Amino acid sequence: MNHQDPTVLEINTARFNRMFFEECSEHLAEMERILVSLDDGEPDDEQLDAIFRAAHSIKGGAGMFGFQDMILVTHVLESLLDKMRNNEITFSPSMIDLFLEAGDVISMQLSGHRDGSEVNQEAVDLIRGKLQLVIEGGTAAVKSESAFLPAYVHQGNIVTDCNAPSADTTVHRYELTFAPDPDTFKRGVRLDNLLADLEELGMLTAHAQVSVPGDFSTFDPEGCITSWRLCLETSVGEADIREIFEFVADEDQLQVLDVTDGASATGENAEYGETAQCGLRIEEDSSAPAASADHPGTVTAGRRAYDKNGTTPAAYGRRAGDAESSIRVGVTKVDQLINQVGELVITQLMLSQTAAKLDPVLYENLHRSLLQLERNTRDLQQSVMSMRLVPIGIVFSRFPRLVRELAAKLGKQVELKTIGDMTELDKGLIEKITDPLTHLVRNCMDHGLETPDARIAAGKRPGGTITLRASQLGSRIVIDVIDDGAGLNRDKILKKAAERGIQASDSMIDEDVWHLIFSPGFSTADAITDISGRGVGMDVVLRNVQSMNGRVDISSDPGKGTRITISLPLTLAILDGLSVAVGKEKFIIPLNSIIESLQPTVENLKTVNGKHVVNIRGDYLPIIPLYELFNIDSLLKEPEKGVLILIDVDGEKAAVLVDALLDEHQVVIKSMETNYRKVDGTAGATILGDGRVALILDVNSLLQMRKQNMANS
Amino acid sequence: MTMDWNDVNRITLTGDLSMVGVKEQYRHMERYAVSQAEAVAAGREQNAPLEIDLDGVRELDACGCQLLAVFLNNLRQRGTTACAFKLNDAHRIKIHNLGFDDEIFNGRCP
Repeated sequence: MNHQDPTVLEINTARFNRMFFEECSEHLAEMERILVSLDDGEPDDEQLDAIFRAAHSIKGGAGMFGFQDMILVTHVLESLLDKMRNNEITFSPSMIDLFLEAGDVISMQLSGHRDGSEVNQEAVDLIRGKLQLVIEGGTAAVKSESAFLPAYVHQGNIVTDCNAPSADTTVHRYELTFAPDPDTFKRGVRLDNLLADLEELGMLTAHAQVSVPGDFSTFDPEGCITSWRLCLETSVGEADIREIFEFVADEDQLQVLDVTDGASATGENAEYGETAQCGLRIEEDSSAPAASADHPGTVTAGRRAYDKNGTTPAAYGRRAGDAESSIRVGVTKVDQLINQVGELVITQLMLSQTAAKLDPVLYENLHRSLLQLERNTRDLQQSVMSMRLVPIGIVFSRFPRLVRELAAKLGKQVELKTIGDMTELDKGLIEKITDPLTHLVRNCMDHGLETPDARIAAGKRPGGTITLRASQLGSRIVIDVIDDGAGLNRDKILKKAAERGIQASDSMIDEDVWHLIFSPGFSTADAITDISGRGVGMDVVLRNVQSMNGRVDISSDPGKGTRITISLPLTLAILDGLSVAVGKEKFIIPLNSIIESLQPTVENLKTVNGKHVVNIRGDYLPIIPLYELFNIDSLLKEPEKGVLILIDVDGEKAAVLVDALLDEHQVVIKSMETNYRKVDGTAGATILGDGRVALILDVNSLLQMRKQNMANS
Repeated sequence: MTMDWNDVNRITLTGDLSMVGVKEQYRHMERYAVSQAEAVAAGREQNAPLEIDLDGVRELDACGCQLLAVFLNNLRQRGTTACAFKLNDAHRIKIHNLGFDDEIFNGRCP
């Protein structure tokens, strides 16, 4: 007897739910991708099958995991798609929006289950009503919401479903005998949901028969010893009924008999015959259901028989194209592995440093082995890091729909091109880059691209183009958002900057002028729309990108268009850095923010308001003494005796004073917050080859700290 | 879940009567069944129907309905008239929809 701890069951349920949420999101994304790609055109058979498969899989999963509300929507969506596949309903372009809307509603329900967010039940009822209307031969036009309110009528204990499919007006009466296996409850099967599914098909009455054990003390409360006799009056076919049981019942556990008007007049059916009143055969034989062979013509050959299209999740391995196998692994597990490999890299560094003190001739074999270990460790680290990399196409795929909808709203013709969809980026960055890219695309649509009339007047073709392009340059990923619109208006930007009190002058070079649009509250839009124009977007874009150690550049050509370039590190888990010494401490400065390092002469140093500055080829840069910021007892306090490292953060330059430069490293970033606490001016820490901890400097934060110190003084 | 049988004619079931909580519910029921059997053997059985108060049951599913049905049937087989009562509407509808009406409400209950 297998007794499960309820806590374990809950944990397992949560784990499986999470898998369902991920798969459901993927199915919804795939459905949306296909629908948007149709561009009002009719889907071919393959596309229709793919959309159907997505809806079907969501419904199957929702059924398995007990998300009843999702089944209700996907069922009617799937029914409509099935009728389209069978050419019973012809396609119309308005269906694309209808299906997209259905996808949105399912997505909302998914969020409700996953994140606990609010679900707008009216929207759910509305889309169900709209889909049902199309099934029944109406139009997909939106009716008033009240027309689609739920039509469930509870009459005492009997539930009548007025939304039951009615395309086929012949009402069948089915007798079902369902004897689930003893592990049914333990497998987490929710029979109340299953029966609710059946109720969706028509009028259902159920009668449970429990095989009561003689001795209560030997009863396994988690084992299923109940069988059900069900009567269903519905217009759907037997296959639809069986489909509800497809993940629950094996062939021999479910018997379905069509007893409509004694139509299935086999011996046993005749016994049910005219007196086959739903739920009135309590005293009948409760033994196991008769074998299928006893009911030729009324019992189908099992779930595989009507799964000829291979649409069930269980059929996954059978479908062509699934040969390339993959496994789904939680991000936490991958991060754990990355962390452990990071520890391995540190250990390897420690060994190398220790071995460096040993005679290379006497210990030649040891040195050779350590070199091999270093290569293997690096390879392993790269392989593990690549596990966190996902194609940026995941982000790009959300834009076709956004562009389609915004274009319709703005009355513009827009073509979206994506290049480099397979360029890979760290999963954490992928999640963070979505919002900034969305802001940029919305801005392109709203402000960048002109209306068709304006474009024609400017000698352009009426339709504009937005291009999203991703590529890898060394250890960085570059994402371009390019439009062929009117370009940025220099005079307008300078005028708006002056109006808003933002420091700007006519002598500024174009690049600096373009960067003014990233100022908080800046907007050149003449009218505030719900798409953009409040000036809250671009500064958020910049902040978000900077938080990922990224940079944003703009180039614009009046009349020809604008290109915004986002440059991001490939991953946030490792970093190329320069180790420096300050007193007895060591710090890591990210290489991507270092311009150069130098030892200043006394002549190049000045003091302004008590603070040191250094003259670098005519520019006076502030000096940031690390010993002062981090309260380190250093003997070296005069800049001319130390080393200055010039850093650049989005055009803002400064010189960091350190005692000495040590070495270049690729370091594994450890979170300070997780292991200790947030330390101002740092982006984390790493463990060096000698086992010591070195803080990784956040150069942007250093500049802010310096400004704060100056303000305080 | 708790099961209170301080009143010899009444059992109060509370908490989770679903797959998650049936094991714990079962342990309490089993203890009661044993004490009831001992009482019958000692000639201390009650003539009044045993009331099973379900007012405090928070979760109920098919697995819980099955346990309740088995428990009631077991008591009835031993000659105890046992009646489930104080069900809220949601649970009553669930029992009906799952087809357990006869298994749970069958008996000479008021």
